[in-house]
Amino acid sequence: MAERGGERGGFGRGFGGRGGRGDRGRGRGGRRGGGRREEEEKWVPVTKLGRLVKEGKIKSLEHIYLHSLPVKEHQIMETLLPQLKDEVMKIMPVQKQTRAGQRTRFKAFVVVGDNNGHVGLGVKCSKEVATAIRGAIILAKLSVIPVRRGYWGNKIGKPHTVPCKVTGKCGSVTVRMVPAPRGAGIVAARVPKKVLQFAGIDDVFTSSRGSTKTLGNFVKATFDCLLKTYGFLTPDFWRETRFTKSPFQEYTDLLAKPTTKAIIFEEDKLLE
Amino acid sequence: MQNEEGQNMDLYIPRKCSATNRLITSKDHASVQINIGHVDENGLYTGHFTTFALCGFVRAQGDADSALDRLWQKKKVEVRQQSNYMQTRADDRSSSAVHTSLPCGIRGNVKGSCDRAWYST
Repeated sequence: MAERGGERGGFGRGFGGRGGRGDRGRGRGGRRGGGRREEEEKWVPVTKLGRLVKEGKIKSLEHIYLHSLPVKEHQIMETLLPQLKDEVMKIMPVQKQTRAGQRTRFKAFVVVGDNNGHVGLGVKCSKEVATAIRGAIILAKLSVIPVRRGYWGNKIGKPHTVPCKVTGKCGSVTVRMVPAPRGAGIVAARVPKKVLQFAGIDDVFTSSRGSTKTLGNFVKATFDCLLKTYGFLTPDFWRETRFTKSPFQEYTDLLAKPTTKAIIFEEDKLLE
Repeated sequence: MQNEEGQNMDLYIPRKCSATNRLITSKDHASVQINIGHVDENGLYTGHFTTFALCGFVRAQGDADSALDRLWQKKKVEVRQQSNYMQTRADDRSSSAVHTSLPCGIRGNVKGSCDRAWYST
């Protein structure tokens, strides 16, 4: 116990190093090595949804959204949304106290989006910065949501703002988005502005409350807010739903066929 | 959402829960779409089915079972009427004059967690 007390005294030393390491990673974004191409092409889908996407039976992301299917393979998103861009919002070093000093890991916040109605947010912690960023990009792709856009006034041209006032909350941070007229631009702090740009929203007024200094919660709150745009029952959605078959039901015969992995496994078994 | 020219500007139209009329969002993974198969008087599946969707909220509250029951009771009458109509149409074409009533069974197609053992995913 006495030893522990001595180790604890060393905790103060850790503080000095933290400030210097915090700013790293701002410039890092979307850097991918050329050698990765081969891995991406060799995608062997593991989930049913993955198989359907690989076969080309599911042509648009909206089909997946309509049936609220969970996406577990990031290659699905890459196939359906090839023009997805990503940006690292922050690399945050987090520390855990151990007997032998602090164990530092890096938490990466990555926002992913095509600037046209789809955004994703990924958070990953890892011992190395690059691993964290890579993992966060994958998680961000898995969490892509559709963003509903609407009009402030006359419904001319394409939608440019949120359809109604929506608010999202994470931790103590609440973010409120209010429809804005064309030309207003995104009136928001630096952090949510990035997310909203990726979402494809051109004009919006925002208001935030709580400890927006905590970037993690701030970014999650805006994300939550955007998620709610398609959960708000406006009169356009009053019409009764005409249900369509879920893709698993439609293509059940195709899915019942064994995949190449299963065939290879059987061959191995026969050899033994 | 339609703009002034009448073009559809939404990415997709989300489903609505049959019980509560809430919108089922893209990340509502607890939501479920159940198909109830129609069965003739011998208990054989006719090939027609009725679809209901339940949002995750209703299922989490524990109201999914009663909601489904209530929805089916209402739908049963409509299905019976429709089947009678179809049957009388068929009768007019053929010569038999048998009038069938429709008991219906449940044959679910549930994704997500299964509440009952005989549902197939």
